Amino acid sequence: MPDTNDELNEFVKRSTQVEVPTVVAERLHRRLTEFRARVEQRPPSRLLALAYSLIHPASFRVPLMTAALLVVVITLAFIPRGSNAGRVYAAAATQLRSAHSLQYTVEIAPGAEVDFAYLAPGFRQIKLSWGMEIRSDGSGRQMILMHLTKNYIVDKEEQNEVPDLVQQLKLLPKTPDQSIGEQWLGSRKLMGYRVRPSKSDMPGAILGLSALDLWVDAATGNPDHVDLSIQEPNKPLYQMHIKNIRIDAEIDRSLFDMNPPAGYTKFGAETAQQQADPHSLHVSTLRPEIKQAGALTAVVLPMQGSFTQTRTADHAVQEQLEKIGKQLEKNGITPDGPAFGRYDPQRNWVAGYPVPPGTRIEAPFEIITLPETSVASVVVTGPWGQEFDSPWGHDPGSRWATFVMWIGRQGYALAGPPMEFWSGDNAHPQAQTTEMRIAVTRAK
Amino acid sequence: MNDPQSEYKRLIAPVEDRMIRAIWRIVRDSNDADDALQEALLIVWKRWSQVQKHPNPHALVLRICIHSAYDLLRQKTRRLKWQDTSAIPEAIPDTAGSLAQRASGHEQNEQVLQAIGKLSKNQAQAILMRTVEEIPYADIALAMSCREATVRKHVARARTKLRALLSHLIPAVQKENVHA
Repeated sequence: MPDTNDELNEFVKRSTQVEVPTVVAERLHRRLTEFRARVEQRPPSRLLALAYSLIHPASFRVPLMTAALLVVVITLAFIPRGSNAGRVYAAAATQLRSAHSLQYTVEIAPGAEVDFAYLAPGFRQIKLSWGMEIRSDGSGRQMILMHLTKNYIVDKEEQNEVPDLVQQLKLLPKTPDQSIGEQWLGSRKLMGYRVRPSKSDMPGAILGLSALDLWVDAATGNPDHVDLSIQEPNKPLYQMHIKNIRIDAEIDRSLFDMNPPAGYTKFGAETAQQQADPHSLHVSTLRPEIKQAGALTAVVLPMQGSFTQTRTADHAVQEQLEKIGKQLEKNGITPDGPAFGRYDPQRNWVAGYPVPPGTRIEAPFEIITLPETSVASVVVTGPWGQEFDSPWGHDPGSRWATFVMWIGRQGYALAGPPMEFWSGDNAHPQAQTTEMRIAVTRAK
Repeated sequence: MNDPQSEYKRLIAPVEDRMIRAIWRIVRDSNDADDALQEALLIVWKRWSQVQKHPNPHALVLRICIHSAYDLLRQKTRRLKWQDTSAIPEAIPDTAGSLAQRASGHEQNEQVLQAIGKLSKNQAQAILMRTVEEIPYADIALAMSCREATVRKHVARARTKLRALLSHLIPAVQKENVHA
């Protein structure tokens, strides 16, 4: 193809025939002058020349290259698998083991996240996405802040019984048990390593932890995320995802301040413990329980203002519920259950009625659907939102605080926003009931 | 061994300008050109005795320069591949305007260089030495320590690849593709 060859040659030539800028030419000429001086003052060594001349002839080069290739192949065959990749793991594990501060987010259930901050020697802050916060200073004390009701509880940590993820991360072995491949996150290559914890009796051990998968950025050696697999006997596999890992980042010390924020009232730890004690509960009329709640579809109205208005007598919530009730009646929809309120930190909070799945409704009303989940539930009798006689206290905030502590003592952790279901009618206030309900998961 | 001063005059001095041009044509960046020349001179320094004994030392020195510049170009092409995979379009139907007009454009020059950066090391060296530096096949073969037929094969393969990569810029090639 002489024509196209000529055209191509001409094209390539034209595209590459450019004048060298004077500045560049001068600069490169200076390099050549330096080189000339170097050659003239000190000619290249004969030894080097001999070495290069030895490998130059093709007859030598091919066997030499083949031999070098064989050495590489044999070396690779005898080096333990993953040792090269193991350096990436070692870089991440070393960072975690020696971390002075550590921050991460744990996805404990769909839509339920916990932000965790640790600062050596023992400061911890756990911020739950549904308005609770736990702070501890490593001295054995912990403070639980309930932003929903503006209450706080000062309690004693039971160090050896609390599963401690920081402890797990700080005790990562020097080598992983298994390399689990790689994955791409955009342009970042992540390498995965599996560690199987061997000591389940050490302080802070996560019971049933069967595998800890550490994913590391191959380029930087920084931990990207961790997947925990927890397998307890006769229970389905439970998985947790830890993301947004930050090591030794600057942490605001006020996160660990053990003084309650202004406007928060103390719910006495002693009283709470007494009330939350299983024996006290046994004699009380309340029967808190952990149960399975089915999926829920509901028509709701987003509410303005604080959740505490459910306790006030200005009927704001009731008015909103009446609006929903009328709209449902107009659409020929029968509520599937009692009215409820749900605190949602992302959207403030909502009030509404459960409805059959597939229900449609026009704005401003909204449909929400909640998946089937384990919940902690307790039903209290007495006027909604009014003070009533209860072994858990008169104040709704106190009731919630006691309830949360009871949940913790059953070995569960909160996994969703708190909800209240209001049953009964206005004609019989003393017969009204409030079911306090919150999604939970086994504490890990 | 002859005295170093006369050796430099014999081996390097006659091709100094060609060395600079060969490097500049490939890298088109002041710092890259400096790096490429330094790298080339280091190789020449290390292989001094080989250069001295070479039947065509000038072709060998030029090959070393082209090799160093090509290495930098390749690194740049790899970086561009990650940053923008559309740098060389699959096909551009526009054939309007003369070849000279289109080839004179900076972007076209960049595309040619990127296309060369996508060739194998031997193909790139062979086509640059043959087409751009107009070194005879026999001398290229000496510089590349291979047979002349091998050089011709490298050049032919390089042309095939360049034709595919640059068809949208060369009307004759484009027509040929259409007829095929």
